[in-house]
Amino acid sequence: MTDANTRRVPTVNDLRVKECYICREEERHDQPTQPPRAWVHPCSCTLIAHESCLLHWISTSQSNARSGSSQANALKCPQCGSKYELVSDRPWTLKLLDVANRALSVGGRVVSVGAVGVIVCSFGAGIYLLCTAYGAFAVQEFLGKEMYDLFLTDDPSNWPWHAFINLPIIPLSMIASRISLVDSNFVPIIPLFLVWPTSPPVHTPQRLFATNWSNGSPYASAPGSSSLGGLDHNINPFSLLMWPPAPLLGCFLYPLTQRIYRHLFSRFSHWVLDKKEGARGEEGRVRGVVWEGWEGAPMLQIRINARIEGGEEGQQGQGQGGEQGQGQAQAQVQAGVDEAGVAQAAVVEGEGAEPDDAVAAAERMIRVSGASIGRAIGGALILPLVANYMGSLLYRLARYSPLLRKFLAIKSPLAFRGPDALGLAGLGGGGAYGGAWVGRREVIPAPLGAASGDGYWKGMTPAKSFLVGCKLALGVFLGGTRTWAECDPAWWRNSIGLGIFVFAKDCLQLFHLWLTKRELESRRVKNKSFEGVEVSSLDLIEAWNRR
Amino acid sequence: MASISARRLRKELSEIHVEGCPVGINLLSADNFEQWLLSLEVMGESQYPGEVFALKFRFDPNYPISSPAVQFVVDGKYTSPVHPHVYSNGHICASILGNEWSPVLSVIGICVTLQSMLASCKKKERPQDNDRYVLHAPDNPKKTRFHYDVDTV
Repeated sequence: MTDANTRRVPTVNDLRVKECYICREEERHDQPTQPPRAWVHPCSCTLIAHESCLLHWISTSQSNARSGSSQANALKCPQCGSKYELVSDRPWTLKLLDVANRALSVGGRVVSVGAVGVIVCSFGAGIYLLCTAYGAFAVQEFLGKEMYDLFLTDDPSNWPWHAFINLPIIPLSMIASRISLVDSNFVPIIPLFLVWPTSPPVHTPQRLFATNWSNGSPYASAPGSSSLGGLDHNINPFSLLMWPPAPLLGCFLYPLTQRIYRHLFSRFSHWVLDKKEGARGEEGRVRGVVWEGWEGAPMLQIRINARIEGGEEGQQGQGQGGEQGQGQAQAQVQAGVDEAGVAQAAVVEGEGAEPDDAVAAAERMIRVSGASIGRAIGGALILPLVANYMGSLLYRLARYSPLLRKFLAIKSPLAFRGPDALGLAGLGGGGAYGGAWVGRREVIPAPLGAASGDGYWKGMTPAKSFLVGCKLALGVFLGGTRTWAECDPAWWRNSIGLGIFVFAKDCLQLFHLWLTKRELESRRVKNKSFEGVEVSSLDLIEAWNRR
Repeated sequence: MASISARRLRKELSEIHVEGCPVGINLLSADNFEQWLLSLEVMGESQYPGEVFALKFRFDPNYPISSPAVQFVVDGKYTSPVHPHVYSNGHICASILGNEWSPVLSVIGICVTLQSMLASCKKKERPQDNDRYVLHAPDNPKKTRFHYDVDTV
């Protein structure tokens, strides 16, 4: 080793034969390649390479390095492991530009993430706005213009906080309740509408109390006066028994009503379609249509023979067709407007198909189910409009029938009632046209009636105010606010109207189904005479010859 | 002018012809510079006595800068060796074919490495995720991102 210091150390240029470890090209010392290529010996072992080959290898593995190890791998000798040392001109301008470039790419990433975020957000916001707008529309249609102006108004800045959650959920839950495959007894729309009875009116209450309740109002000044009777009636926990029913009560009654109605209607349709048509005797003569009880539930389903091969799609279509078409009607206030035709289509098409031709029938079923999704959504979304229309129809009819007027508990709009009339109207319940039209000043009942005013609480011990407070809260919970109770209950006649509509629709569906079934059962091939056929070619009985 | 890969492969081929292959390794076919087939047999004491395997090499024009795609042939004649790093479809999980590839390696070098990988095998078994991998494996093993174990064989 000491000799190494004295002797000259050889370099790559002193080798007789050079072989690149990358491209395996050789170059002899006495036969240099043309043009000459640079050689490099980058490590401490015997491996040498063309400088261009090595740089290519390094830059390639740096650029497409899938992991850090691959990059490090290229920067050291594969044999002895010593690190390659790279030397390059890297003036400060390049360093600066590198840094700037890196910063720009980071910035670019931020911008692209931001852009995606903005797109997603604005799309979501658009959907949200659309849903909210529809929800507001639904509330307006269902509760009526008057209540809408009280609780919501057209100006979103007036809305209570829960409106921003409640409203967009309305269309979504309506659609969900229609296209969900499970038979849902609990349809979430009614509870959603139920938020409104307990919420205070949007107009600033303080101002209203000041003008309408604190000054000159009999409730505030004289808590013991006779008119308090009407007030107590409204905040009494027993207000469950008032008419129209408290919204909360409806929440419990609704599934019950729905079940009973379903049960009755399904028995009714069974009777219409089965027993009555039994005259012809042949049950199941309608080819491919099978009546079947479904999981013990009081309902029936039409099934098409092809359903086994129909796959999920077909089955869904049949499920819908069966459920709706059978007219297994649901008292749902939001029950369907459509679907009637779907079921019929299913029946007719199922009939038309040969039982063997199951796949073709299944394909048709898929088409039917595709169309029915649109129908389900459209049908769900149009319900508030239908409810409103039916409600106003009832309202118009009520003009001619005091009984109906009482049943619908129609009240004159608040705008035409003075403060004095309020208590009386509350007492009278259905005094729609009996309400005194005292002045045109807009009067909005405070949410808690007289208790909204300061005077009401004066002279009470803390214990008593606590008790009264509890009572008020319970009353609001069960029966809604006084504001709600005092308004013309458009929601009530709308619900009734929608119920009637659903029933009518179910009946129409049933009628259609019945007609279809009868048509199928009465189907015969027309008999014709042998007109135009050579008589001699027929082997006829003697009785004919004798004629 | 032939590409770098063709020149290098021609060189490797002539070396094989001149010097011959190491024991247990034979060149089956090298008709072009895109795909070669070599047979592989583990000599001496091993888990694979008498078993002969075939290795398929696929080269892209960037060879040797980019590694060749190497896998065991699985057809009527050959099977894939049962080994913790070899999948039943012939794909091999070996770091030298992935991120530890270096142009200093050659076709014969890879063969020798894989030969020793088989020779050092203690227990014949498939990789744990064999079934799942084989189900979704791409045709080219280079498209798989193997997670290399610590004991790179």
